[in-house]
Amino acid sequence: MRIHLACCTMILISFSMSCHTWEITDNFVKTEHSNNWAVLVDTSRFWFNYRHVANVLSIYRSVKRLGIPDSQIILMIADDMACNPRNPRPATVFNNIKQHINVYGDDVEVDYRGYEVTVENFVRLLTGRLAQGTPRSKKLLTDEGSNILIYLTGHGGNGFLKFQDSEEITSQELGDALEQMWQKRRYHEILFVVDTCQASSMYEKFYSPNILAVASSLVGEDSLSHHVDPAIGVYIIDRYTYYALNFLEKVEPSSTKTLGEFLKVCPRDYCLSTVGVRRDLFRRDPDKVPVIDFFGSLRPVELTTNIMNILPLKSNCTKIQEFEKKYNYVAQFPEIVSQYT
Amino acid sequence: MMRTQDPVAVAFGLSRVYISGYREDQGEKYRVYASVSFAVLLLGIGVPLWWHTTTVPRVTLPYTGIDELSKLDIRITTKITVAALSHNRAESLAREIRRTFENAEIYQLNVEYQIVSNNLLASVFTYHELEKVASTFDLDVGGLLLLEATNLNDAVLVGSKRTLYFSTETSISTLIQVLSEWILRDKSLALTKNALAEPTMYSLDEENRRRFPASLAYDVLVTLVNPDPDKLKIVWDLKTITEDYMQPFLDELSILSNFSIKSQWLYLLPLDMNPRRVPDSSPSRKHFALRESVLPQLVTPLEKKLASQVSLHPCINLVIYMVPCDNAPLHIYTRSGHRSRTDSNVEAFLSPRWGGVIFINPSSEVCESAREDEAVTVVPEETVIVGTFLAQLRLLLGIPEMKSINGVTAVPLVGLKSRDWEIDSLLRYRTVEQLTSAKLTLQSLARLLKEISNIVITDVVGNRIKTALELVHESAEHLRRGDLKRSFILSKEAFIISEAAFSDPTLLALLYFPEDQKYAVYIPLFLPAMIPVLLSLKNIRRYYFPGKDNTEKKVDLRESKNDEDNRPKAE
Repeated sequence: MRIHLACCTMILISFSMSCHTWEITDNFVKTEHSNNWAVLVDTSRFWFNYRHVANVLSIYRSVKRLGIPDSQIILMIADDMACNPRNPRPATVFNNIKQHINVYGDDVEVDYRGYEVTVENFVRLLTGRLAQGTPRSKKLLTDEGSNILIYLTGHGGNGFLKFQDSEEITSQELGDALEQMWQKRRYHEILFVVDTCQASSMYEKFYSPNILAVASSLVGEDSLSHHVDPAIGVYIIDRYTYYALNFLEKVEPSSTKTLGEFLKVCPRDYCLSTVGVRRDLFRRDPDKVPVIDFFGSLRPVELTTNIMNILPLKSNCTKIQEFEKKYNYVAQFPEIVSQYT
Repeated sequence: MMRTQDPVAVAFGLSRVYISGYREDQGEKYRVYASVSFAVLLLGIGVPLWWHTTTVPRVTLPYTGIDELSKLDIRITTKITVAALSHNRAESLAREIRRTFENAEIYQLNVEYQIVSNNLLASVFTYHELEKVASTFDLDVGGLLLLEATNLNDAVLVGSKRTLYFSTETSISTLIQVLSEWILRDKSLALTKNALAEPTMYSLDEENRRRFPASLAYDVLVTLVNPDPDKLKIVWDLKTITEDYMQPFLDELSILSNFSIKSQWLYLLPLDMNPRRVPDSSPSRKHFALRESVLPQLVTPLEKKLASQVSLHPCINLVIYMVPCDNAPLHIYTRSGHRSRTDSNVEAFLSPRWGGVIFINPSSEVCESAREDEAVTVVPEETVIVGTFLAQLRLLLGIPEMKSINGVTAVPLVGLKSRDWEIDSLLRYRTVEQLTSAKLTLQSLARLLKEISNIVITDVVGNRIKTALELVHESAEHLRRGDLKRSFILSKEAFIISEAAFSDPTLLALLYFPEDQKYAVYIPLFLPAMIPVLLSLKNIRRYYFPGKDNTEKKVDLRESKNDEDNRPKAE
């Protein structure tokens, strides 16, 4: 609720300042996407991986704040940290020791949780090959006009990302899944962000067009966590996502910040690892693409000027009159009339 | 020293003691038999069994048929009848139309001409009489009649059926412009096809981005938002109105897909922004302004609360927002800074592939007469709201607005029906879209199945692919023959089946992992067992085909006794 109020006041302030701040740049009109989706995945469970849950919730919070509705966010979280008995502050997940932002927020809609977070489910989700009867909230119903943000965090190695403790997705699998999405026209553009060790190995095998991939570290490097919270006893967030969240907090639905700026959120002396970027598949210049194209959701609008002339229908006369019913108490005991008196 | 030892015998710990030559031969025989049986068991039964049980089950697919799809030419045959008063005019018109559309990417026009007698048309004055004359011609779905009329005010009058009326003075170029831009829409249709087939080369135009993607069924969700129920009482029978007005309109389009209409009321959902207060000369001395550029930010908060995600079909959202008196009257300002002018003073906008929103202002008298703590009763004007929604629905479903052409008018829409030629045009779009999409789906599926060898193809998927392939060909054939309706229905089926084949859950029965990982599993498992068997093959061959190395073998056999002693050490 606090965040909601904060949002409202922010909007109010921006209104009172000037009308120019809430205008949307013309750039937006030129993009060719018609809707935004986000797939956010945390692949690791257990208390010592608290930071991965905080990572994914940070991004979740940002995309939701910037306007992607829950119905268009697929959130996969392998463990529940907010309600973990070891959490000294139940129902909260903070991004730093000063409890600056509660990334858990007021309402988190998790679509795949616990043991549902598997490689198979993830690949099924991307390729759309889900079992019949899967609820809509677990489906990625994108079309050729969709921009998708894919964010993965967990433990990884050269060429793979570990899911839970039992299996891993390889970069090859991921590349094939994305190619199938492209073939089936399931996306317009993808921003692929991955925060794991040796993260850049995850995007090396991509071969489908219109993907901009960002990784928190290069092959051979570890992605490091930001700091430890003694009250929680474990590291609470990873460096890359910590700085990414810092950046995204400053973005508003109307702001003109570009992806080029997003790519520079974590220089080497902050992250202690080199942020890897793969641009060759992406056809636009990241410096000219608004961040909102992937992290927000602004639908284009057209004013309606011509309307159909309609004659009022006369058939309404047959409307059934509803009588107002009067309710009264039924007698509690039947009236007994003896025949023999 | 182990070189003559039968590797199988060693591996399985068989020991032998040979004294005389005879028993040595006997032992040799058994040893070879043993090796042969091991070899047969492992290579003859084991390997095929392993191969059989670990191969990915794949039904054979009509790959050649799918490859031929790239040559499939989608061409719409359309019959156009030109009926003019004189033979010369009819012929020249027909010739000119034929010539213009000769090189059209997607059309093949079948232009015929007829001569109508002057007497028949001389007494015709009104549009209804014209319709009567036109009804004597035989027109199929997708067909078109160009009829020359004597008493017309406009150069071209486009009827609500499948007829264009033109006057005797109308130039050929105007007529062709109407045909190309309003009715056949050849360029836009070709772009629809190309943008689907090569998304990196062509980008979608405005119409294509606005139109909902093809689907078997759509939900139409009408929502009335009352942000302040304490102060605003709305008297409106939402359910009956949507059923009375929307249902007949959508029934007309029922050939396209199934529509289900739902309606709901939402309370206490304020706009997420404060409109700017603008003083003016109206009695209330003010109005509130909402810029066009902020409208996108209104859609998302609305969307969160609409619960339009209940069913699996695409949902067309139609929202009526009742403006409370505190913010009334609310007006939308365009990007250029003017109030958006509409013919009936409606403040409405639509969002492509999402739906439409309309703001309803309570009348100023009602608002002014209301006391501070009293609820205001508002009765919205139903024809305006429904008229706006139907106009938006038409756009969202793919019936675009006609660009004005000088001297050309269209008969205004009567009742809740769309014009026949508009529906024909929509059918053409959908057919092309579905055919192209089904074709691409099959092609990409075939390519993926070739590329990724781990994908399982079950009988169900195989059959679906075969059926879809047949349907695509059949539908294209009907389109070439000019049977638009049948072709559309077939293309719809092809589209649905190919979609089902592509997204069948069994295609992911095995996860896709690279081939080299298989060897990482099999080599440590099988190689230790296979090496002795493979080496023993050499011995078997030597036994049955004693060739030049016969003498050498005997020497070796004698040495075998020494080997016997060495064996434990060698192990």
